[in-house]
Amino acid sequence: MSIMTRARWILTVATAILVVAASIRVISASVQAPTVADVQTGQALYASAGCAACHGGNGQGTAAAPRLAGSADELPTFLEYVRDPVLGMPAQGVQVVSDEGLADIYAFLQSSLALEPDQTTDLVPAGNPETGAVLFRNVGCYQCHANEAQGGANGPRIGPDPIPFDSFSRYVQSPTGSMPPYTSKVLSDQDLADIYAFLRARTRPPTIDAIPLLAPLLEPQN
Amino acid sequence: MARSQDSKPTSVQRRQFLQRGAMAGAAALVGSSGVADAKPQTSASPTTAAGQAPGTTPVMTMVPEATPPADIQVLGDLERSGSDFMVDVFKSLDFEYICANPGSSFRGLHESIINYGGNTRPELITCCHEESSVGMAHGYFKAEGKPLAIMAHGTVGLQHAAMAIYNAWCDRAPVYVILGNHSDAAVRRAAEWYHGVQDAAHMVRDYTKWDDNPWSLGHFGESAVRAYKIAMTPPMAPVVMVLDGGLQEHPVAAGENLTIPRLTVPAPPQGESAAVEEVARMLVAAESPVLVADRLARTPRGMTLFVELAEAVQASVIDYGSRMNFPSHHPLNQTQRAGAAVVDADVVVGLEVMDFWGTINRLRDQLHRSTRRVAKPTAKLVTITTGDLYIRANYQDFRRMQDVDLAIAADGEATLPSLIEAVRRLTTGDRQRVFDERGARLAEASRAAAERSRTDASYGFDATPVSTARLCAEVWNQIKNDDWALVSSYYSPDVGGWARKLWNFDKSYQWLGHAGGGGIGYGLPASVGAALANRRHGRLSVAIQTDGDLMYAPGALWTAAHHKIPLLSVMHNNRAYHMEVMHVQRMCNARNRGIDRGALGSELTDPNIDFATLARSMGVYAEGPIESPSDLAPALQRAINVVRRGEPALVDVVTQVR
Repeated sequence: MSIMTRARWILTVATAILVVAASIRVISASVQAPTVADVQTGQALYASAGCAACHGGNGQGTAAAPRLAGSADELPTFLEYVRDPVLGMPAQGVQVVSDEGLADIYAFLQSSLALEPDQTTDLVPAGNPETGAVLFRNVGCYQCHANEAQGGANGPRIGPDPIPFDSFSRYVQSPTGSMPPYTSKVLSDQDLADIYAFLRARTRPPTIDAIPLLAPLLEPQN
Repeated sequence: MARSQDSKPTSVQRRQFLQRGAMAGAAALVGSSGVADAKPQTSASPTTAAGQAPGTTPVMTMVPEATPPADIQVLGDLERSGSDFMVDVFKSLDFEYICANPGSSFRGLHESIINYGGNTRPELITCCHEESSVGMAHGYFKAEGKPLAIMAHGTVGLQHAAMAIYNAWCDRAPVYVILGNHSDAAVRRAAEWYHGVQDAAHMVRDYTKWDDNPWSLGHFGESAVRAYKIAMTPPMAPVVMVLDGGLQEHPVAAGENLTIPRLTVPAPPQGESAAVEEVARMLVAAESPVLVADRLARTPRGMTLFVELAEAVQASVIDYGSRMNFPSHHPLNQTQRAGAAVVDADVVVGLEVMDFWGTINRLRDQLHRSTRRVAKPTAKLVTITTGDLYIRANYQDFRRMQDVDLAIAADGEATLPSLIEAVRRLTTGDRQRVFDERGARLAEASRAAAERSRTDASYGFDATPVSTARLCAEVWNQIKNDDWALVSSYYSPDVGGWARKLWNFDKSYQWLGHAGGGGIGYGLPASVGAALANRRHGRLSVAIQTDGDLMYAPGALWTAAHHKIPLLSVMHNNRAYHMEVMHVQRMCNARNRGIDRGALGSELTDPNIDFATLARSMGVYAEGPIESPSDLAPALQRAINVVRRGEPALVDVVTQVR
């Protein structure tokens, strides 16, 4: 390895560490922040497990599958989805990739080695959150995703951090699961942009430790 | 003229009375040949001896005054009626309560219960709808483990009760249904023609386990005990006894030797020993075993045994929750990540699971429905269920067939001891170490899933209307230090429900499952019935009561108030039948027509229903409608204080959809 190559590698890794530290969202205090090695392992696993075939080499998304890079999904949600995806994506059991391996892939997708998450922001057409609120109600999004897009038993949380707009609009028009499809005949691109603006405007809650009513239950006894 | 109570007629005299009575009846019919004949008599007498005002109908015509008395009008002191004996039999079966909306076809039994039986064990519970009677019995059974009896007309009453009986059937819950009927067409009163039927049990025979129509009291005694025995033998289910009005009301013939058979409920069948050994071998050898339970725990011991089995092999547990099978926050409980657990599994054992196919596969509900298997193709599949012992043809509650590697036709709970013993015997030191490592991983996964649920609950926590997560968190905060039981929640399987995510269910009576057949209208009566059972144990019964469900037969609120049944009903009032809104929405989308009108026909608005006023009108303490989450806690506290005093209370909370 030349000095320049080594320097570039160090810069890349250092950037990755910073981005990981800044962007990764973990809800479990016991989950350790990923290391550079984790990110690199995740990148290799992402390729070897076949994720790139549908989601693109760096998780940027393709016509066949949505963008993963910079996803707002938390690690447990990501793990659950990969283990038990809705129709369209093959389930990946532990025989294909372990939980630890998936955590590494997740770290890769959240790092600068994948595409910058904010890149999608520029692709979002302008939307009116107030109009979006009315649409969110009138076209029945709230039926599964609840009034504040917080999700529930019948649909996941989709605000205030929705998936990238291109993936969002593609999924709404042609969902891979049991969600009813909304074609452009019933929801225009502008409608989608307004709904997307409404989703992004949802209030982010305080940390759960700041909500006494959601204090953890007593430690269960084994 | 009434027969003297001191003079007991012989059988010969009784026959003479019968003959005279029949002749007198015929004479009466001849003497009053219809309305036309009677009218002149009335109009020809402008006043009566009693000075009745002209133009009013006299209270008694000459016809009945001239008619000889009926042959038998009252029982002798030492006599008893057929329904008295029926009460003796029901007492021998130890029914604590009997629920009924009153009906003349069982008036004999009704009177025997309250007078001859002293209205105790069974005590009559007044219901305002037969569906409520059955729903109460359904909920009572799941709280107490014993069936309740209900009484209804064999025609109109059973027609009201039918949906609730179907729910109980699907939920494998025994309900002892008693139907009144007048079989003998020669002596029916006018109304008894509408309430008479050749084969009363016919209309529910597809979803009851057994029925009979006894022709004598001796026959009744045997069938009544047999019915109880059949209802309580797994798979449990409702049974029907059709009781003829004459058999109820006629005196017991002198010298008739009536005996009550002794009740012995059969021990349920255990799995065949070699098959059980094979399951144990699979579990011990597995790397990712998953135990799935639905209606497994028939008794409190069922949960204890299931915990023993899961811990012995450190297996993932998925609890579908038709019964309280497993503590909600046990480290091995993977219900909140059930999909991931099944995907990983190399052995899946279904214990009394109705929809095992739905565990192993997924159905995509789009215009073109498609299915796929989510479990690994190599995963070994085992079922242990009484569902393989008894199945009926017409109604499809047996669900889709799943091909399995081993099917054991046996009672799940009864099979657990031998399965636990075999697992322990086959476990080596090496396997134990593997189990322990797996248990630690599962505990971490369970803890992370619980953490994720708390985070999910925090979104929209302060929103108006109240989020369902906030509703459950607020209720939990008020009851967690009581001896509580959630006696009813959403009608559907509640795997995704907030209560099971945020509350710590660790006692066998704290969760009672759901309706069984998906028939709406179960929640309110079932929660009242379960609260009736819990009253004796001093438990705080709580129901999360949906609005659409309550509107089916709200009279159960009055029953709770009248009988002082302590129950806290917290309304999950989302002002619509939202499940149906979603189905119509799905059709709108599939037909590409837009869904602006998708809620038409499913919303309960304009006007909004005032559930607090409705409850108060029936004597139930009530608060609401509450729309702001900050108003919830004080309202709940006030309502719970009422419940602690032994009365029902309702808090109407306007909520988000689900």
